[in-house]
Order: sequence, then C-alpha cells, then structure tokens
Amino acid sequence: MAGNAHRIEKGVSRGNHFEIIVDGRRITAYEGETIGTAMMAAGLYILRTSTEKKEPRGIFCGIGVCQECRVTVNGIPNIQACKTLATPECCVES
Amino acid sequence: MEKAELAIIGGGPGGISAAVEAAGSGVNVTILDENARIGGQIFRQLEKGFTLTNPEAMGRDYQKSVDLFRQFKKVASRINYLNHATVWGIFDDHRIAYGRNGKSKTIEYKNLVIASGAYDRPVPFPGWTLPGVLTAGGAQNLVKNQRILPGKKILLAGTGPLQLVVAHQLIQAGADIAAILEVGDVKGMWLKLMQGMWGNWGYAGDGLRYVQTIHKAGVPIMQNHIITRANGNQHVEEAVIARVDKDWRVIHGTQKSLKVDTVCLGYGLVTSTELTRLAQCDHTYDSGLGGYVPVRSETMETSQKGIFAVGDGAGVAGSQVALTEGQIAGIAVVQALGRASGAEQKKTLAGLQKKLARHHRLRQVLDDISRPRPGLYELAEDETIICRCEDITFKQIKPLIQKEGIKAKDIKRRTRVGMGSCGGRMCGPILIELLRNLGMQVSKQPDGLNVRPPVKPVSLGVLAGAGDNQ
Repeated sequence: MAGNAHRIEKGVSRGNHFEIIVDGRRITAYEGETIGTAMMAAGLYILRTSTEKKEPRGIFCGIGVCQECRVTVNGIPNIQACKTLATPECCVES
Repeated sequence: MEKAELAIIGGGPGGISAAVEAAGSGVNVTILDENARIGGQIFRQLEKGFTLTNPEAMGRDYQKSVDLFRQFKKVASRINYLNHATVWGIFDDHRIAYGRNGKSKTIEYKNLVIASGAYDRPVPFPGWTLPGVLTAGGAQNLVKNQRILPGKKILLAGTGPLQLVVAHQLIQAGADIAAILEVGDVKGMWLKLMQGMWGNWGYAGDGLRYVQTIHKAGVPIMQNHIITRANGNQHVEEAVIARVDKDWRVIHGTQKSLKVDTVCLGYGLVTSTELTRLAQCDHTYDSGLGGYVPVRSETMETSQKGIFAVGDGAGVAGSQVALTEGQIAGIAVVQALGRASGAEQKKTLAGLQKKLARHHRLRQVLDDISRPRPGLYELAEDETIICRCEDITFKQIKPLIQKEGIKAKDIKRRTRVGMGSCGGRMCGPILIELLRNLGMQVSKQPDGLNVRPPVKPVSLGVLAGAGDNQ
C-alpha cells in the first residue's frame, strides 16, 4: 500500500526542500511540512508500534490529540509527527 | 508571575473573537495557544513555506478567517499572544500553569475564557487502528494545510455536514472518493432541515455547493450506511460497509466490501473539557453537543465566577457560533472589569444572542440527524482496541461495563483504560457511551474519567522547573 499518498500541486506553491532521515532512510521534505506529512509522502505510514499487541499505528486524529503519531526525533522520544515540522537533516525513528 | 486582566486559552475563532472584543475596549489580554499561529483548527494558517496561488479558491471559511485576523491585528498591541503554550493546570487563586519552550510558567488572571475546541468523535470498530484510517478533521488538516492527499481511493464514513465539507475539499484536491456513508437518516429530515436553514443562508449556500461538487464527481452518498470493519495487512486495503436501521444497528446480510486505501471517520465532534473540568465548573452530559459540556449563563460564564467557556469546547456548534460566543464573553469581561458604559453593550449583547438563537435552530436539526444512536457503539468485537495508548481491548472491559453501578473511573483503575498519553481523550468518550448504551447511569458531573494536572503530556523537565518563576 505504500506510496498512495501524494502532494497536491494545485493552488499552492512550496518553498525549499531538504532531506530528513527516517530510520536510516533519506526522504524529501518541504519547508512547512510536518514529519508526518513528509513520511506519508514517502509512503511511510507506520509511525509507531503499539505497546502490547505490537500493531502498526499511523496518523489518526491528525490534530495532536490522540498521540498515535509519536516518534523519536534527534533522540528525543514522544514527538508528535502530525504537529512537528520537519527540519533539514533531522533524524526520525519510528 | 505574569498577570492578565483576561487570560484566554485557545487561539481558535472563539478565543480570538473574545480577545478582539475585550482588547478593543482597552482590556489587557494574554492568549495561551498550543499552535504556532492564531486560527485554531478551522482557521488554521498555512505553515511558512507554503504560498497560496489562488486564495479565492480557499472558500468561505478562509475569507472569514482573513476578516478575523484583520480585526486581531488592529488590537494586537494590547494582546500578549503566546504560541506553543500548553496549559497543563488550572489552580485556585486564579492561576494557570503552562509549558512553553521547555519551561513551565504561571500566569495569574482576573477573568478567564476557555476556548478549548473539539475533536472528532472516536468510534471503535474492528480495524480502526490500522494506518490509513484517520479522522475527518485529520484528513481535512492534511489536505487543507499540509496539501497532501493521504491516499488514492478514499472512503468517508460518518454523519453530518462536516463530511460534505471534507468530501468537497478532497475532490477539489483531486481525490478519488469511493463513497460517502451517512449513517443517519437524512431523507426523513428534509422538511426540518429546510426550516432550520431558513435565515441561515450562508450555510444553505455552502451545503448546496458541496453537494453539487460531490454529484459532479459521481461520488455516491449512501444514507443509512456505516463502516463495520477495516481490513488490511499493515495498512487499510478494504472497508466493509453495511446498511443500518434507525438506531444505527447493522442490518445483517447487507454487508459489502469496498477496495480503498484510506478511510476518513467523521462522526461529529466531541468537546475538549479537560480544562473546564479541571477548573471544577459544573457540567452536563449531552451526546448531541459532543459529550460533557460546561453549564453556562447567557454571557457564557461557567458556574465558576470569572471563568467563561466559548466555542466547540463548550458544546459543538461550529465556527460561527464560536465567533459569536467569544464576542459575548468578551463583552461580559469588559463589563465585569467596569470598562463599559452599559446601555450600548446591552444592545449589542441582545443582537448577538438573537444571532445565536438562529444558529441553534439549524444546529438542533443537524443534531437530530447526527446524535449518536446505540448501534454506533456496538461495532467493537472482543479484540477491538478501545484504548489506543494502552492497547486495551473490548474483551478486557466488557465484563466490567456490565457490572451494576460501575463507574468509568472504576474501570480506569482496574484496566488502565484512560491512563495513556492521550489522557483519556480517545477512550474516555467511548467508555461513557458504552456505559450509557448498557443503561448505566452517567452522572451529570463528569465523574467519567477524573482529570488531574498535567492534563497534557508535559515532559518531566518542564514540570521539574515548574517553581522557577513563582
């Protein structure tokens, strides 16, 4: 199923793009995009594995309430991928 | 310690409109907002980096937000706007504790407006935790503000007009929508709907435009239909849908499967009441208004003197009502501080209250269609996750919810449901509705899941420094 999300080109122009590192893989992000958006655009939907059942979880509420999208960014755990902007060369662990 | 004549929590339409009103009359206002910029969810501004090439195409909400931001700018010199501020506690003696830039701070207020907003109603069914299943509000945020389509083939399932708004936005962004499922019964409601629309021409026009877009795109709107299951390996690949009766119970033998890669759930919104609960305001329960709602006077004051609640967080009714309620609370604060002449403000208040009544007429009809019916909470199976944070299944809580006299907080203590990082925002509303469905008494006071500070995840470092500036 990977790769079905795509950036909308209509009605908007994007600024600079740069790379971020997700689980060792380099992906593209545009200025103003959240980590969750950049990952989704790269086909990476799984942001964490659930505690007990070890099931994949992705963006659910998308507005910072549900805490499903928590990732580790530059070594800091529990960062919400849906709210946190991607920055050049930031290192994300899902 | 910082001080404010008026502290406002939340930078959405309700909070900003209260700020504009009060600051316009000379009141010093501090706004505590979690976001980077004012606007809240509905009026969220694009992040730096994105530039709109055609602002006219952004629709009426966008134009309304531009108006509000312009008003805000005019009085901004009297407003201390604190972005990225997460309120984690409201204490006696008019103190608020919030985290900002890795530090905890305290502010003392004379009056407080809580405009905490709402979020999509969580509804558990098999597969609702699969990546690719997201809320309508989340999808809207992705499309409108992040300019990304979450998938190629999308199913919308839920109830109410927000679904049409989301569908309209998705279609305009080039999405392929498999279907829109409306679980409610709209057909029998047309006459009432027309009556509610009377005088609310803005909404009526918007609704018509959305439906036109949807029809033109050839997307079926399937009334009395619900999603019963999402299937897939690591991601949604299929949705199972079914016809429902008037209680939203699945009619067996009507199940159908749709190949989709994304599911958007829009079962209306639930109120964020952690802060009004923390402030020990009286509440009532009304599932049509989004769950627990603070009891308020005509001027939006809660049972706690000097604490006002406005917008969706005080009863889900949309951005227009939030703007009006914010203005009313703003005027009330100006009066409480003795900054108003009286007569003129009374006249304005009367006009605003009339406007509210008109909105509520339409709201009531929409609530009649979308108020959750019992079938909505009967989709979960034994292995369905109820508490996403702690991975607690329906099987684990089922024997408890059937116990005579049991309360949500007892279930929390026994199963850890509601103890995870979301602070019970996801499983809390589910638990209350499950209890209600089984005929259990739900107390008017939110004994549902007690709230305690910190009400939002704040790092220990922030809390450890909490005493620094007092």
